[in-house]
Amino acid sequence: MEKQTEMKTETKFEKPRHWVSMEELTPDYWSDPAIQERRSQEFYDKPIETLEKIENLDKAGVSRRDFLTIMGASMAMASFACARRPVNKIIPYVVQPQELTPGVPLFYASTYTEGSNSYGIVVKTREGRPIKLEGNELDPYSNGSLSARAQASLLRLYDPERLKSPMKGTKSGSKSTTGWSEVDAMIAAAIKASKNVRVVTAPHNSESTRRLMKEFMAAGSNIKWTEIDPIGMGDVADGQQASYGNAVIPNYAFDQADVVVSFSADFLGTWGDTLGNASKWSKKRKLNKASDNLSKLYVFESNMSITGASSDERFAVIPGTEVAAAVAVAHEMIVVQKKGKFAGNADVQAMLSGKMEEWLAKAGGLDVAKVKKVASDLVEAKGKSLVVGSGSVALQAVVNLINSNLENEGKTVDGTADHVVASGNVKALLELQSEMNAGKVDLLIIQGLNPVYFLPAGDAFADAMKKVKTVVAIADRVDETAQHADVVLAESHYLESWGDAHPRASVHTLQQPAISPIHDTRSFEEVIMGLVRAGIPATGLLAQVAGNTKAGYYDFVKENWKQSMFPQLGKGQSFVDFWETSLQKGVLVNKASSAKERSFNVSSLKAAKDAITVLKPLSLGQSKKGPALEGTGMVLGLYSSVSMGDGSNANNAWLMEMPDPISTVTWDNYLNIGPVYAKELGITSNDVVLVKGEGFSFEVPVFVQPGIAKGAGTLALGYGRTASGKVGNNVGVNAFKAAKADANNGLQLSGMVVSITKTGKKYELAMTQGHFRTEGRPILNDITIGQFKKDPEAAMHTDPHLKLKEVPTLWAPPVDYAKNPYRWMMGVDLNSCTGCGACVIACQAENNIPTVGRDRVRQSREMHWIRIDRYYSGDENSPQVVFQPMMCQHCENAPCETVCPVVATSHSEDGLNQMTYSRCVGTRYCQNNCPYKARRFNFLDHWKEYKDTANMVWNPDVTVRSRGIMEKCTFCVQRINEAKSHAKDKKTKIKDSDLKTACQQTCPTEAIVFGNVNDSESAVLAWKNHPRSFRSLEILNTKPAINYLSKVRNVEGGHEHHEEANNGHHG
Amino acid sequence: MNAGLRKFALFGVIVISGLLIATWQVLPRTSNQGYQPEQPIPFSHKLHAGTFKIECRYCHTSAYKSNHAGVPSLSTCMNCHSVVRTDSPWIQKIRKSYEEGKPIEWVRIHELPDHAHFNHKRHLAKGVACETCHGNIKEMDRVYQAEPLTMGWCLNCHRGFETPKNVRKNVYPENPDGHEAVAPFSCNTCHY
Repeated sequence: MEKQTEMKTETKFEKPRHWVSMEELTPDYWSDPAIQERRSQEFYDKPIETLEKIENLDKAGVSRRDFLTIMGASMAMASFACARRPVNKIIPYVVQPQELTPGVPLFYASTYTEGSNSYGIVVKTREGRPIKLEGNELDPYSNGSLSARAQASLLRLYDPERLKSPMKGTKSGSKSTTGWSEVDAMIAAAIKASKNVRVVTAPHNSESTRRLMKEFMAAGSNIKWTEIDPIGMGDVADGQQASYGNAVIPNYAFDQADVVVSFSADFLGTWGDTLGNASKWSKKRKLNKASDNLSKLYVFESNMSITGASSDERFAVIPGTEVAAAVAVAHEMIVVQKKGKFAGNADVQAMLSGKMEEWLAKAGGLDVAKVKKVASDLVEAKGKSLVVGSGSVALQAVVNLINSNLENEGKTVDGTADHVVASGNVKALLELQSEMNAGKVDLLIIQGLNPVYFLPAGDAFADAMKKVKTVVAIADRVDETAQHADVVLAESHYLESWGDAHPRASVHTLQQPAISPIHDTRSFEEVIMGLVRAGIPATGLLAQVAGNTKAGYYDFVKENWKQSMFPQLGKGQSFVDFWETSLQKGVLVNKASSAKERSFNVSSLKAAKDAITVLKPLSLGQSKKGPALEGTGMVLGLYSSVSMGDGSNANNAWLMEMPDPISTVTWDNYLNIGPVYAKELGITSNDVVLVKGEGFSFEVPVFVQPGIAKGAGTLALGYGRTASGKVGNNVGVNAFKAAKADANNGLQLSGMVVSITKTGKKYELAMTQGHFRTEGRPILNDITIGQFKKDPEAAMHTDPHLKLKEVPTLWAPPVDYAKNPYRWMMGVDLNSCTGCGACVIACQAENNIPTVGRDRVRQSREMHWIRIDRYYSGDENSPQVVFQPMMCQHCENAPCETVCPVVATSHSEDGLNQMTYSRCVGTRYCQNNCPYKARRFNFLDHWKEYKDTANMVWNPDVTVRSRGIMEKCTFCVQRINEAKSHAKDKKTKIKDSDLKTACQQTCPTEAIVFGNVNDSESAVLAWKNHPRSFRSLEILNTKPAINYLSKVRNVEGGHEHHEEANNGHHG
Repeated sequence: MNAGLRKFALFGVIVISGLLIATWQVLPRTSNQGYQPEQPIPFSHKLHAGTFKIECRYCHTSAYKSNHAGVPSLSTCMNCHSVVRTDSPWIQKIRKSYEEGKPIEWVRIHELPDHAHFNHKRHLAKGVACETCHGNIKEMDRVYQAEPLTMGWCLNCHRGFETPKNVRKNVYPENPDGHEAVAPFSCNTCHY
């Protein structure tokens, strides 16, 4: 009582417990009439006026009156068009393929490769065209999950702007279509005439490709091949080389680690084997009862990543100073606490000598006591902890030291058994560039890489290309690099090509095509084979296969498996059986030997010592006047985003429109700066600033992002493409231009000092967060482990005051679902959800969800059926983050159903809230009445944007919605109906293993379960009765069919605001 | 009545009936019942299914396996017609198409809107005969749409009003004369 009175006298305004944007933390936000007006316009009660205001239609010469006239005319035309049914044709096969039944999907196992990771996938095809990708459950790393980028790779297959045939021309001039035989002869002649042929490609992770290249290069000594992973884990491999003597990317056992510390390594989103990392990490976060072991995650990072968002404690550091924070942790552990293997090692002691406070001040003013706690926690979990880092070789040295010191090396860090052998990195590319400049390269063949785009001095690479006699680019479009080539060879998509992958010792996968090439294209291996056929001598298997005109790369892969994989893995089988089962399974797992501890080379720490000595305390936020820098000095960090990565997928509308998990911005990159710093600089979100550094400058909009250190700014890579296609061109700025690259250190993405100057311009970022406002209602529940142990019931209610078992209701007596065979429900674990967004893209592919473009997102017209809401709580400078996947809740008492005037939305007998498109007349009452804001309205015929081959991506089992129709999550009812049909065939009932929704199937952390609660063995029933289970907005008594499991953070204590939680903010 | 008025009345009648006809023309049709288009080849179901008693699924192979009954590929025609009636100009046309690898473009007769999903397999599994929806196909020289294929028509059977006896018997073996619904009629049984 005393406390409450105190609160009231202090302030009338109470901050909401969870907030989506920082404005909500000020009393003005809730009382400002302008903002109230904006909030009331969420659903556009006057769409045309609002549209005019937003789109400035007058500018385009269309006034409201004209608009209505046009509308009237098109309505008249539309009704005439309906007078006769269109005559449709049925075009059957001439000879129907034996395995194919129209209407029945076929599944093929294949492989998705990105950088140094390859995952087994299963491709669903209908009538010969791939329509959906799933992870292969036999893959021990992905466990059947798939990332957003992998899901979206399907759309690239159907990109209408893919090259349709090889092109030939001049380096700077135009290129015209040509035939394969012509280019084969031309390149073969060029190889013969060349002294030095260089082939650079993206990583292939493939034994067959490596053998092919070996045999291709064996005959002539003039060819050299390098695989390059530009923004992969080059620093990790170099760090491993320095510390342990082998350039590998270790396998990290997050499932064995009780304490995980990450220094800017976004291992859940973009760093390394993300699917495996997320899957393993989440195993220690499941928390089925209060006494369960919950791992602890500390993150030191400059950008707010999804790993930082999922952490228990996060430290915002200045980009590039992670090494100082890491040295501080090592210093505390080894020098101060004298714990671990190197506690008595004088060399290590000497390397770590210095003042912890000084380092932490340089790193962004971190709390010394908290960092000491990190060191003690690590020591306590000796052998069961894990430290990872990303950024520089110096940082890697310290990370390796800590892991070796705690004897994690060989336990949670595996650099000897199931690791990944690293490809070359940007260093190799820069070496090549200097060779090219010296005129030492006669012929350059470049595949899967776009150095003109991703090198900071890309133009210099383009100039170097001019010094090479012949440049051949193998690409699926004339990209920034291919523009400067003489010949561009049209590359097949991976779903059109044969191949295999051997990403690590224990995993062999086959890459089986699911469609024959749509255009006149070839894969990289087929190009090489074509050159052999055009007269380049080769040896071994390649010579043999190329010599047979009827054979293709398929025969090469098969024969290679017969010679290398079959003797190892096919014991007791004939090769035919082995090959067929391998093709069917797609993934073969070899038992890996167990990891061994490697000895740490102390001298590798010198790099770290040097790195922290040169770090200067930055006088941040102050004006810096000088010849190169003016305006305000800021330290810039670049990061790869979950959706865009290195930018090679820029022409993919699904990824462009995927909201960033943290900022929820689509279709742009932006400069993230922290709230305090922004206030000091007088900048707010959507202000355009001029960023200037050594040798570059660009204008970019600002996004004020809680959790970024003062004096720092971060910017996503992968945007600002100029030759990717209509979708990706000129979207955002190319952040690679701000990076540094040199032959000693490779690509450096953080620590650049830049100046920023306000331009006075405004640019509205297309952000989805805030479109679907929750009005501060208790939509989710997050507590701490301390609270959970003290009061387990706290996890079961979003509102501590609402512990009612029965809520009085005006609804008709509830339907007795127990008498039906099925009642569908879903469970979502907020503790496992990392916000990676794979479910968003999986749902988009499965359910024919169109993209709408930047302008429509600004108008809150995005169509995603599942969205990942991100809520902050706590202090705005170091906020806590919780993700909540939000989709139709299929409420038992559904507010949408009662307001539909035409009963287009109703309840099915198995508990689904069904949406009948053909009935909908578009009143949008349901959307207005949905407290979860899960409904989406088709303002336009978005499907019309899917032109040419893009049309082939539609899932024929799901209706493509036209304009004027409401839609929302259906719980993948097409999958339910299919599973029902299969169950009826077998005269059984659907079990958990028979049915998965698209979002559930792709989730790397198994954060989603779906099934029949009337089945006593279903996982969803267990989650319904889970000790952390709660229903969103239970106070409204909508009785959702989705049970969320509360987020429980591994920190002691509770929330400051917990007592007054959810009481409001309407002050 | 003077001539002017009569002229005016006549004009009025013409205008009004013109408008009515135009309205009737403009309104979308809900059913294509009776639709009997000409096909590129005058294939006779009466001859094949009626006289020669060829089983429906000899050609419509996927009806028992899939949502779609499937229209036979040319290779199915050629199973017989590589030897049967090779002198007919129509068969020669088929043979030419087959050899050139160019499929025949049949005109679609039975067509549900895109937002309605129909599953052949499930209906056949419950004993619904082909003729129930497709009419007496064995008597059709040129196929036409015999039934309305409207939602009300579908529901009449699902709800048990006009369910064929054998289907009801399959669903309720112990009560073949009842009036209960025989199939689900939730919206998302068909609409999704």
